[in-house]
Amino acid sequence: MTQEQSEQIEQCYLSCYRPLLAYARAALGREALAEEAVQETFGIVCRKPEEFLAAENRRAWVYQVLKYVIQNQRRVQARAERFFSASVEDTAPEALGSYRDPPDPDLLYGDLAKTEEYRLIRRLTEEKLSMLELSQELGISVSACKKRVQRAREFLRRRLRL
Amino acid sequence: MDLNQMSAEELRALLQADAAGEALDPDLVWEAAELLAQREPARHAPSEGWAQFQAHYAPPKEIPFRQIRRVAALAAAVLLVVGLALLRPRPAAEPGPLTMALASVGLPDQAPAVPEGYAFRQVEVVNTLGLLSVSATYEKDGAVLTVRFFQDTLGREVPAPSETAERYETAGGVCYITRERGSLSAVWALSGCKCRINGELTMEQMKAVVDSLTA
Repeated sequence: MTQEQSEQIEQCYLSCYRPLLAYARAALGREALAEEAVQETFGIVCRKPEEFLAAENRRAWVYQVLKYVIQNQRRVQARAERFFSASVEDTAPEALGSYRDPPDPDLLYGDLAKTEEYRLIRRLTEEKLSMLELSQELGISVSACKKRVQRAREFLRRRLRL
Repeated sequence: MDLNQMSAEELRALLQADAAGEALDPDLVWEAAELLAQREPARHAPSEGWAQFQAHYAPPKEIPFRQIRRVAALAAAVLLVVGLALLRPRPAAEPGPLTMALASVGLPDQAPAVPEGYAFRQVEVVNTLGLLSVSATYEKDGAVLTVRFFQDTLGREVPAPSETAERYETAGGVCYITRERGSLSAVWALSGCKCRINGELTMEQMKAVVDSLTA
């Protein structure tokens, strides 16, 4: 990416940040997740600077990218939520205890719940942390955090044959 | 639809519907997002967001493939030029003082390949009882190498200077190399002259110099 391209992207970021964030916040709920969606959007812009600069309406182009990013985040979130609820649905009622007791996935998953991978995915899914928040908690970079989460998902998918 | 009349909740619902896949007018959606942003300010200013983006999300600066290709092409071109320069027959060196001195007395021009580090110091033409000789002196760290050419119209083979002299067969005839107090001396006959080399050289170095004059 050239210096000129970088400057144009920055200009677009600064002028579109607030409406994009408001859109993402409405769609995702948490401010941190909304911020992350905007950042991911501009990460894509930086990877495709020629495409972005060639767009007739750059604002509309970025807005479309944000929509895809949000859809993708929701898809990942929904998949993770299914992972935690699937076993609850498949488990016999007596194993879940009385209806007053909320099903505890940690109990259902047994040894798996003690793994680092499980805890990582659960924090993202149930507490809805952003990658930035999780990476800061782990003391690693966002990209390293993403890789770790990806590996954790793969690990759980293999173990649970999802 | 007058967005200004809508509450924040309604604006949010409109944006949520768009994000959920309802085909809404993008300009309307953008306007709604701008309005909502005004009513519910973000916790970070855009410049702070940009700084955060640069610190945590911006893709690492990669060398574009085109740039790699350009550098590789440039390197290949440089290698090609250097290779061609090395393979190309070198133009004849300009005549040095020794060559000119030999030519001036009618001796075949010669240019010895002296060992690395030896620098040319002087050339001398001497007339001894009507026989001309040309000698060139080279020096390296105080060690002196002398190459002498003697006029000899007989052109016969030189006799062995001593019993200990090593006989060395060259492309131009037989050469004798003698060791004398740490230095070597080589002597042989060339067409129309004799040649003698003296210097503190190894046997291999001496043979290399001889070869450069007899090949």
